[in-house]
Amino acid sequence: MTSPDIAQDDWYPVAIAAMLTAGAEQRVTLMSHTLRVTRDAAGKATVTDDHGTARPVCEAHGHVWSSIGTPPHPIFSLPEGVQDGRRLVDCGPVRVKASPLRVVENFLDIAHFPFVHTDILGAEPHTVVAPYDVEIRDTVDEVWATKVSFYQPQAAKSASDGIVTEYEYRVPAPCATILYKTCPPRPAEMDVIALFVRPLNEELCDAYAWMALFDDDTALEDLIQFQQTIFLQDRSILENQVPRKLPLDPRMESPTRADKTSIAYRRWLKRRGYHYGAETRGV
Amino acid sequence: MNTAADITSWLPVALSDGLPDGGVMRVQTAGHDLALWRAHDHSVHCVDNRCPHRGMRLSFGFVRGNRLNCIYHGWQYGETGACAYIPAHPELTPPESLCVPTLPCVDHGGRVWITLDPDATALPAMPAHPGLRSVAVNVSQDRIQAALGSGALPSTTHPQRGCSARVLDTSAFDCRIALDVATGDTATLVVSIQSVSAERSQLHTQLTAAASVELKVAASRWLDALRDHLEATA
Repeated sequence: MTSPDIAQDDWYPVAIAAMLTAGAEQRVTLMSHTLRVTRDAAGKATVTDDHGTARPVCEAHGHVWSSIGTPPHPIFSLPEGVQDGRRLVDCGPVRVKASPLRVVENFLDIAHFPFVHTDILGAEPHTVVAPYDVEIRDTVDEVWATKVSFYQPQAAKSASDGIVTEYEYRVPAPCATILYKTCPPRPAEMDVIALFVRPLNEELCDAYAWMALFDDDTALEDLIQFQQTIFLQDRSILENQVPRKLPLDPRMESPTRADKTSIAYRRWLKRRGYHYGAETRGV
Repeated sequence: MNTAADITSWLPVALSDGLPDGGVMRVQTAGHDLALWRAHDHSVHCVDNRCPHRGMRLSFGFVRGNRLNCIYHGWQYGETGACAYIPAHPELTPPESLCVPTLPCVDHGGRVWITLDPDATALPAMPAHPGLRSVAVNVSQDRIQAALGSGALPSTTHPQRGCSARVLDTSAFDCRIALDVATGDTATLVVSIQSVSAERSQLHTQLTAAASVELKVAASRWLDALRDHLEATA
């Protein structure tokens, strides 16, 4: 196993905040460590490891976060998560037999929509990925993809016809990614869909989808079902990629222009020395 | 002239009937993970089971015309293994270097064969019988060959479908087994053994003549008994 290196000092989701009620106790695995997640009567969440030692804890973006290391920074901010009028939806977690980095990379990919999410997020012959912008924002040390657009037959539960959906992607941490997309009922706003991933080990993870939407009409179960359908389609891919870990050597896989976000993500991981869940042979 | 090594370098990996036009299946042998597919021109092909783009197993893919399409992003591979089309960029001509490795693959004698030996000589003529079924067995190829060679074959008991069996002959490619069925019918099974790993094999079986459904069921139940016998004695 690769040493957890700098990865152990990141924040990872260990519970859905709303599911951790006062007096509740949940046991979760984070990077092969067993953690005990509890909430006391005063509402304070606590995380302890299998030696009984208290681990860092914070609550943000609908989840309780912890770490097996010592995070040098507070968790990334997500202002839309507290914006008035947004409906916050917990969808996860889904367990995936794949590297958490593969899960994040797949979330950043649009070219698979017509083939994996056929007639929902994409459909032939609308397969072209138009040029878009990608940058590693040094000031915040995040990967951003902007001006992404794609034709979608049914972009969201609230969409009834095909539309060209516009996207922005943000990777604030190696195992967290956020998507901003056209909001059919509120053209001036962007819906937010986030994926927060907890590695159980380098090749197994729990992915928590979390949404902050302007949609007061769609039934909760339909919103969750839509996201589950999409994610389970992705899982059938993720569990059949070889190797399970994400290759960081650019010679191991053959990207094309549509993969600019993934190329930047891999380069950013390499630059940070984030190797947990990565295939580092050849690097 | 064929040497013994040449002859046995071909591996039976499927029944011809089991891989219809447009079909894709996964084949594993000797540590190789492969995708076997049949184009709509009826030709058979074998490629490394990994799309070079993002590592997706090509055995999950689909065939259109004479190209294998990766299920992840629809990248299309032609019969030479070269990438012919990238749906995200239809105007792009994929570079020649963008290809998936292929293995020699032939449809011959009612079976699909591959070889890991680029210098393998052609298979000799052999009859193409109708396929019965392919059976996975958790036993090594060597042990199956030894068991068939010993002649100690199982029998099945049933008023109509019961079978007793004896080995007629074996060659470098297959083993012929005579089945005597309780109804008085007889059938000849051709069994080809594919090594999957050190502990697993597949039996690709054919019947030498057109058979009734009852006879096929009797032969199929006998194959279940053969598998159980092989796994119990391994």
